[in-house]
Amino acid sequence: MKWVFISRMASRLKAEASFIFVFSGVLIFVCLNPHTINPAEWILYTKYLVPIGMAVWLFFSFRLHVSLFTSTPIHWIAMNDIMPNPQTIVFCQALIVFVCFFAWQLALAGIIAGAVVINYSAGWDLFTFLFPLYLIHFLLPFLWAWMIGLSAGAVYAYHSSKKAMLLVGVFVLWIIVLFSLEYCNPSFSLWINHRWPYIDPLFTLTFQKERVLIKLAYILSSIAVYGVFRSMRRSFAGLAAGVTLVIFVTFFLQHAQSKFQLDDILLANDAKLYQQLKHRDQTKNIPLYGYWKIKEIEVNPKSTYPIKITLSLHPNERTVRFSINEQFQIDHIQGGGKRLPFQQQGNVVQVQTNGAPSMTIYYRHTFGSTFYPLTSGVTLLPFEANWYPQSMDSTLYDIDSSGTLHSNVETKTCTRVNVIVGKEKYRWHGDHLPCLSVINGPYKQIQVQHTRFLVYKPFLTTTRNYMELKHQLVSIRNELCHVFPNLANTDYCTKEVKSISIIPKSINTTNLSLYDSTVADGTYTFYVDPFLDVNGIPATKHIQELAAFFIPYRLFENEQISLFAGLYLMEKLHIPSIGYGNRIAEKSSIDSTTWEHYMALSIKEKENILIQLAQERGKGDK
Amino acid sequence: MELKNVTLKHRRQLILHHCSVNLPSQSIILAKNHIRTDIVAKALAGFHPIDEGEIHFDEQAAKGKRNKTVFFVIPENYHQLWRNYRLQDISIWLNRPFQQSALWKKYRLPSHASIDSLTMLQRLIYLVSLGQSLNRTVFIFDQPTKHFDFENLEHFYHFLRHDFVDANYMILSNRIENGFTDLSIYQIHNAKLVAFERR
Repeated sequence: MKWVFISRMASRLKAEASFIFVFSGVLIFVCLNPHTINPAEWILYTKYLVPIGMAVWLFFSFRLHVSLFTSTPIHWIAMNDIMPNPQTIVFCQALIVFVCFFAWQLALAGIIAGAVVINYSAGWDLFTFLFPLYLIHFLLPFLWAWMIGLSAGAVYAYHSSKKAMLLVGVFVLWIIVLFSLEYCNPSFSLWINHRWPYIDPLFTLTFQKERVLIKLAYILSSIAVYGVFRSMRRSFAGLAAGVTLVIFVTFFLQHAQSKFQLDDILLANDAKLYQQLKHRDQTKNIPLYGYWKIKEIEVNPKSTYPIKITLSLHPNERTVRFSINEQFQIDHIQGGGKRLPFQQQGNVVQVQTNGAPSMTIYYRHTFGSTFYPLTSGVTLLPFEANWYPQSMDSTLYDIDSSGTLHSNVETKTCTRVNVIVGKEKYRWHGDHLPCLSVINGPYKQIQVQHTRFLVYKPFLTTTRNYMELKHQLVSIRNELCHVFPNLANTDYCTKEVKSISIIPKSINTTNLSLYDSTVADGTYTFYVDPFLDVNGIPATKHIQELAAFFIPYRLFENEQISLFAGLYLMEKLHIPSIGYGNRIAEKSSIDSTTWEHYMALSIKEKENILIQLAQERGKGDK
Repeated sequence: MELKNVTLKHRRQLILHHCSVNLPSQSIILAKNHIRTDIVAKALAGFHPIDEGEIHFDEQAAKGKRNKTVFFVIPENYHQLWRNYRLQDISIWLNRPFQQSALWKKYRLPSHASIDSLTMLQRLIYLVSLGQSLNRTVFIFDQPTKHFDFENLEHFYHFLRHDFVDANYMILSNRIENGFTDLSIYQIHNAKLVAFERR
């Protein structure tokens, strides 16, 4: 049994093997910290565990491979012609130990992911999300250490110990420099994470594939360094060539990596948007006019123009004016074979169409903001973001008295919503554009009882919880439609719950606001605090309470009604409270006496007050 | 073994120069310390190129096989070969059926024992038995007694006289030992292989 031999060889390295066991034990213990608020939080510990783990695995790999390579006399076997390719023996042995190493890592990934899933009372979906996270954040650096140990071991066994030590020196120095850069420079974040790992689109969950590729590039480069080192007869020539290669690879990969570090760009765009909104012209209700119709929409975040929208125009039209979210900057507009003059001021765009039958709007490539990112890794273009021309002007952003920027303030009415999920590129063309949402990123789609859930991956939970949320939304709808007969014929009361999206909010806004949901055409979207504590209480439970306040707000756009209705719904539908009601009330303009007085009322009295408030509001609207 | 006009150099060092000699089937070649015996051993076995001349092998001993498959070189550092391996592991990795020979039994070589646990002599015996299991009929030992203690040495002489008496072998060594007196002794002297003369 060949693997028995390998296990005997490994067991001879008692000290080294004990390091591996102790380190793995510590890794599991630390990663299973039960006091986390997010299931992906353990990838933060890469800051400490990856450097230590790499040292441990490098040492073990080196010692094991030296032991294997020096034990097998391949030159003697070849000289005596005992077997045709004696190298296959050591290759096979190295392969077996690598498989064992890999299996060990998979087991660790399974244990950590499984235990976190149990701790968070989540399901298989979360496991399939967490398992690869271990592979990306822990396995790959350890694999790198393993390969370095293997190459140094081969040089030690088949060349000289001096050459091997030189090679190890180059690699260790390389790793030290890389890790120093990572600790000192937050934008240089590849092997360790010392920032918020679960806040997208800024952080690590967005560009996982790219991270894997860059890490693999480092591993392959180290194999190339070994090859160069081995092929050079003189150690110092090998050293010079190896160091040159290392420097070249580091600069090249750092350059490639910087393309996926969009933190600074997105945050700068946020700041720019903030300033733009702060200093915008307060004159509202600029009339929008002109006949136009959207015929084609193309979204491709990798393109020079990430969004292209073609509109058909009336030939007699000389000027059109429409509205788009001011976050999106128009680069140019092409129509009738030439560039059309246009003016983009705030969320209003005026174009001199000069009788062109159609025009195409080209958006500038800016990567978007943390509110509505538009990158190859993550795209969040919900219909309510007004990311394509609108004929109705609406206030999307608001800066409150404390200087906090709120998004999603006013949302439009939609009778037909089309949500496109998981497509980096998307093209629509036709005559009747529905309310279009294009969402791509760390989201998982789940179908539960004819309802499509789109859940931010760290907030994944069990099917039972999704079903409970759906039932709660249906109950809220039934109750609201019953209490407020005026709503009976509205889209909200007549449409089934078709889709529920759970999306993390931007970190550049408040973590709780009445604007944090939209409802249209049976499509419910909830924007939740990215720092939501989902340990013990799943995201769906948080949303159950939030929905009781948010949905009435969207229906009535009145703070008092939404708060009172939320309280009423919680009591009537026995929605367990996490404390959002009080937090929303504290933030609101309603005084505490009114709030406490309302809370003290019976359920029937609360209902009566709600009906009265809704009627008053109805009269006011008239 | 017949050497015809053989010249052997190693890194500018002339080891043999136009050397012609007939070596009997059980012989010992002595060399001074500055001569690399491993190079001579490999050259005689055909595993190291010679600069000039020819080395012929007695066809009877070879029994029609190619020279390449006949020789079995046991180098000076044989105690480092297959370190950490158990005897049965070696067969597994060489993809050969595991066979216990008479030598194994006589010299008490347990299949489950690791090479490291064996005495130096047992290791040598194991390699010889491995060569025999590979049907090699000529053995070249490069300084086999270098790592032996007195007990190993006694057993080795016994092995040569009783268990290896019919074998074809050649020993390269830096010194003459009492147990080698039965063998034909040659020495490398002035880049020639000549019969050893006791002074």
